[in-house]
Amino acid sequence: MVATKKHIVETQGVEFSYGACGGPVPGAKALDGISLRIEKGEFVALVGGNGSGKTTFARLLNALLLPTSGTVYIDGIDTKDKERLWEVRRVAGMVFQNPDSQIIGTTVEEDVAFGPENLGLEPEETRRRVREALRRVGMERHADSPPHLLSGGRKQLVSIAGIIAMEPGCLILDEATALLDPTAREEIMELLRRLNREEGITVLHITHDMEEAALADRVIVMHAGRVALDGKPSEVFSRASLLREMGLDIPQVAELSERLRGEGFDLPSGLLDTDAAVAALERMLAGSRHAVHTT
Amino acid sequence: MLSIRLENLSHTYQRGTPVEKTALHNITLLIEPGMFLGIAGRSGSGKTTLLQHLNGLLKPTSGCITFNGSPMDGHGMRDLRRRVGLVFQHPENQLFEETVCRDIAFGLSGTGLSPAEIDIRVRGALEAVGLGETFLNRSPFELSGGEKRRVAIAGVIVTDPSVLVLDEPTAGLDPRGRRELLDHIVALRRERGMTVVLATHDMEQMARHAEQVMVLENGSSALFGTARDVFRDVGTLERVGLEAPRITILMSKLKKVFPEIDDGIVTVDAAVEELKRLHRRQGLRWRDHDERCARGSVCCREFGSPPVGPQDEDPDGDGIYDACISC
Amino acid sequence: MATVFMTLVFLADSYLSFLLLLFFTFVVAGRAGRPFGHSLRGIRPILFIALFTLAVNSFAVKGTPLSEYGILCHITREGIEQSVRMVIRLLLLLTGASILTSTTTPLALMDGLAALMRPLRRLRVPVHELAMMMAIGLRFIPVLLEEGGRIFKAQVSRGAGFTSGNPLQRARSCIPVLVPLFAGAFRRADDLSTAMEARCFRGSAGRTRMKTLEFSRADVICVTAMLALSAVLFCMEFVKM
Repeated sequence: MVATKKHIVETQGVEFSYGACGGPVPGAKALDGISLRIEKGEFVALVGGNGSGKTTFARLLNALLLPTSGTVYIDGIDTKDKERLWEVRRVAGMVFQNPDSQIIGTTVEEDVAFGPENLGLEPEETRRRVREALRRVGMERHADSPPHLLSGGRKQLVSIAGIIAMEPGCLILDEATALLDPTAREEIMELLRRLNREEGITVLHITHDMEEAALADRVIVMHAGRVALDGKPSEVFSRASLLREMGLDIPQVAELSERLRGEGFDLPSGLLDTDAAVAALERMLAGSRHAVHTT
Repeated sequence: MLSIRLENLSHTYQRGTPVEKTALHNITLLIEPGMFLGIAGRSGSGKTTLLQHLNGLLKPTSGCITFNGSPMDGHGMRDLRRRVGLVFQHPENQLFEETVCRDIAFGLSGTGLSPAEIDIRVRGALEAVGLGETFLNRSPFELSGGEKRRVAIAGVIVTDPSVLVLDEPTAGLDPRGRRELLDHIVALRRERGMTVVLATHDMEQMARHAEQVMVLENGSSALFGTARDVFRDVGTLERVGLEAPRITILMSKLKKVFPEIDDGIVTVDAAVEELKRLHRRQGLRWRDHDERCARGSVCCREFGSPPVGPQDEDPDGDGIYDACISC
Repeated sequence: MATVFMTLVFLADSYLSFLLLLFFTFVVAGRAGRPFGHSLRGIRPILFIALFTLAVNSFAVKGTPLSEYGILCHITREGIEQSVRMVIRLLLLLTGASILTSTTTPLALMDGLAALMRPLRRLRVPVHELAMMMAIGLRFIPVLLEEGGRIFKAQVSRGAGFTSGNPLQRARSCIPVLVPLFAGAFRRADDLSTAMEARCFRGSAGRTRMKTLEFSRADVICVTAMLALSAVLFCMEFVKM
């Protein structure tokens, strides 16, 4: 139990299958033995193709689904524990892909208040949390706006505010940036990093965008309901061919360095950062010049 | 073949009301047959409004648009819409028929084609998006998201348009889905000689496929040119809220150290080639201390240190420049 | 309040009653801090409908013709009277509605309704949930309208025609828009309920509200005025019979 308390998310041999008529592939196992631990304060990216089980996994963490076998612990609480269901859902706050189908309030403020109201907080406390959450995502000026007049990126900021107003331990984003343009994506990533570094909120960011995943501390790759790779971004993205086979991309910088390495060039593996790559390439090119001069 | 010309086209929504909003401002553009044109820009930059002019869904509030030189008139509108196929954002949301086959055939209703002809066209369209005949009698509502989207696109190309216009066709798909969908579009263009107009904010996609790119910012054209030229302008792209492909940014940073790097590199393939060339070049030396090339002709001496150029490669692989630019 | 007002609008028949209602609307608008002109501006878009009603009614209602000659013989005195009343009713209704929507957010409105219906809870009517449902319904009207517009355009660009043929054909031609719109609405509802559950929604149990409604002095005045108005109008319309 000591170990589980340190881990905000812990799953043990989790399997899940949708019923005979539900889910993307009826009857098939959507998750097939997932055991992993996420420590408090980690920033984890979860990637995988469509049908790899990412979304199912996210829903198990929020107790929207319960495992067919195995156990999911959120902050040490078994998600099957009906008594503590609301605690699980508060701790593992979830943001979904489409902002239009998760914003409930007719004004930004009302929407952010929805979660705290469900928790049964005093009006005064709710008001304080709403104000605070809107400030943290930089949307305080829009408190009274109707959500449907905001841009997609701003709507997602509102959705995130609605979750952090519940003071979660872990923020789970299920492809929350997939429908946004580059600037809005960057804003969201910026916010997530800030919440993670400054406030210690654990982030589990599910994404198709490998450049985003490269910004995480840890990347988990799911394939066919299992964890295929799990490690630092530099380790994971050095497995270019495996990732390709699973239908995934790798960040362009990683792809370039892997391809050059494949042709025998002297480059360190796991390059992801542009500046680091420029330095390495510089060395590679200068090295060749040097080599000739000495011969 | 259809060429579309936009001249000083502007569009203002709800003109004359307090909520009027200018979505497009003075756009001039010639879409020539066979072109692969990319329209880039943030959400709300006017991409969708521009695309909806291309098949007459919207009419310019000022300026004009002509199709093969003639302004559109209400008469041939349905015909025009069959010749300019427009795939909306999230087209899977428009499926409505009981079977995939009937949904795809919807675009052909009223054309007077025989059932046999319609059948051939529908099968052709389904095949073009990479779905087999087994899909014909399935309900579109039971398909996966990616499959639905392909069926919806098939429903547009079934009329065999000369121009295929796509609004964010890969939004929300996973990397494989994105890649496959674009491959099908590229193949379609090759096989049927279609003009393709693709709106997206995915710059890597744009870099890989588009020949010409227009970048929109608040309804105006901020950049227009070949993909190389547009992506070279990293600063402007950043200002309008777009990112040049990571590889372009990397190469432009490297260029500060190695000025001879080509600065229009937009794909990983091109970068690998360029770096290999550079590496080879870095390793080459001149034939002698006078720094003459292998040919050692008079010109090298006249130039002093000979300029390097496209011919300065080393086909025989002996590590010595075979020829400088002037030899 | 709104319902009472609506009933009154339909009840009223004489011009005097209309005048009284108009006056009431005017006063309420003023008290609510909304200039009357503002409310009037809101009804501009439906002026066309009003005129149309006027025209149709003038022709359709049988009675004493205005004149024996030409087109005028189809227009009857009763027709005109009735249509003028109709239009005034329409305008009053809309002004009332516009005051309501501009002073009250839908969620506040629903809270109010839920509070009114609270006695029904004893009969096991899920009042809170009903109110929630209606509030969400209101929230999604603009979203669905936008989506409907998009689907309409998408089908038009696939060559759909919506303007030709007999009524049956025309009704059928709506299918390509209606089916996806409904499918989309269901999908959205499904997603929304998941999102609500994920945010700890469990019905009214244990739920608090950030903004609680209070019955203020202004409300008392308003309700009293409304009751008085109803009484006066009631007398005017029925006593005279």
